[in-house]
Amino acid sequence: MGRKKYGIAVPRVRDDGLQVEDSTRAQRIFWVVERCGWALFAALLLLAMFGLTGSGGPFARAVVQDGSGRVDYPAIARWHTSDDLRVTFAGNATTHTLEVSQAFVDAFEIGSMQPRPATSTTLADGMRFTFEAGPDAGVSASVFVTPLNVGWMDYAVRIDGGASQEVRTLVLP
Amino acid sequence: MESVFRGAAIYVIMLIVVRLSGRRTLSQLTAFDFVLLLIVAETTQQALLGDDFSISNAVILILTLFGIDILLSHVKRHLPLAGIVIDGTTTVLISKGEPDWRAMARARVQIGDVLEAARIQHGLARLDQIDFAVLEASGNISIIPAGAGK
Repeated sequence: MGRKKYGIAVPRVRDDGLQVEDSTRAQRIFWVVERCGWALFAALLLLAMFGLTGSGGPFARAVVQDGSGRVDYPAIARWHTSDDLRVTFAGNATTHTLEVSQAFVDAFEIGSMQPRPATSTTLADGMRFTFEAGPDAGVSASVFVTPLNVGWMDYAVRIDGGASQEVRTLVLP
Repeated sequence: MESVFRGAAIYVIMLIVVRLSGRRTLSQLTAFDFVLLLIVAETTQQALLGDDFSISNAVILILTLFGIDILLSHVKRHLPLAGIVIDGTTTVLISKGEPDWRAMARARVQIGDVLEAARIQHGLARLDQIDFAVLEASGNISIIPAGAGK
């Protein structure tokens, strides 16, 4: 292939008389890459179907629990996309508390909560929310959050003063 | 800063996906492909803008996208291999009247597509009236009739 001024290349003349730059070898390599790409697309869609890219699916959420209750939290979340922590308190107390670590407060923007907590208190490391329950009424609460950053978010939750549960959420861009 | 990263990320991802989807996807604007293009445009809009609908964000994104386009055009000019990777290369489907079946299968081109191009471009009726058929990087098929250019 000859080159003229200004770096403009002149395609070669093939044996069959056609003047075209067809780069057969590069095209064959690309076809292999293309098919690998399709396999990758299919794999990503499968991951999405199983919840490994967030927004629903069997593996999008995880649970930690102890005698005080359970926390259903997003294992995979998406940046700037609303998600929620679902807390179920055990026992028949009329007051329940949910504590989240400062890492949680730094990682997520806390939106609304259902039901609305009776009190919100800042702690040395995080925040405490107090929910009231009627007599013999179970309490479940949802805390709606929006991830502020991308990556692995490690934080802790504690229900009714029980053991602190270390949890991790992967926030995808 | 986030706007630039968003714009660059979406541009690169779209470039990769469109390239890996094959050239026929680019040239065959059937009704399905048209709908696909519209939906993809809507899908990327939110990812580009996020929750920032300011004029400043729009300007930065537009400049980012055009800037990448200009940068890549310079890269392609100085690195021919980059041009092949980014834009693809031509593929000769029929040479001197003989179809390259493997190339056609790999490029997912049917004989009907070649005949359609032959009819549209030159009014040719049969395969044996075609000397060369070239799948261009754009996804279009160029037809050189038998006896042309002699």
